[in-house]
Amino acid sequence: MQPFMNAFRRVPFSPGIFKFAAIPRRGYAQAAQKNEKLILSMALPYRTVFDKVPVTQVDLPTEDGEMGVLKDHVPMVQCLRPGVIQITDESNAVSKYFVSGGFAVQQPSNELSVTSPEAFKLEDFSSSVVAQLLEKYRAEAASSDEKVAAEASIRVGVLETLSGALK
Amino acid sequence: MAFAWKKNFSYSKYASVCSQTVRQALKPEIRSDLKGSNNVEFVYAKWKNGNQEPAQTYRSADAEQQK
Repeated sequence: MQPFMNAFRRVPFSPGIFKFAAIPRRGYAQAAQKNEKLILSMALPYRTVFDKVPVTQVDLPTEDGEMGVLKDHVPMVQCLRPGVIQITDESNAVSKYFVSGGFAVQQPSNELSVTSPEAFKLEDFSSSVVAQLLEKYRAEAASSDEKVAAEASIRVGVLETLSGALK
Repeated sequence: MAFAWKKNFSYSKYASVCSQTVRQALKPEIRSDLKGSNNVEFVYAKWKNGNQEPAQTYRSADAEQQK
């Protein structure tokens, strides 16, 4: 009875009346159970790539720099740059995905949640197409129209990172 | 420099541009599998004086090329 009543505070119905109403006692949320391993979930808007898969290490290209996440990493929220995410799973097999950006959130429960608009394995890209696009957008980046040039330089940045990853 | 795009673009536009570029760089076989799914990046409508102006869509480059 006592543990049950601890979840409620007893509050008098009104001053002077010695009957009590039990109002749920408000407290802080309990922390989630911490997993033994790093659990990776990676999702795109239209496809789930990993769904709560235990992994050993995840290397992320963040705006703060390249970072490797192991289990028990400090909780964080990171904005990702276009680049390669490298996942080392429990059998030490490595898989690489090129992502167009997105976010990575490390929870205290050892769950790493990566979300991105696009992610593809490196084999899915074509070096010749990348080279053609680079030529096209480098020319546009030299344009005198500031908006066109700014947009083209973002594309050039993504393509240069991609061509570096494909080598 | 981190967040260099902030000077010229909203995050939505920047994310669209990056994901379009990634899609454009795919091998043609892989790209044709995806054609249907990502034609519209986002839809937006501006409000003025309590009235909604006609919705504008920002379409991915794939959709434009298909026309």
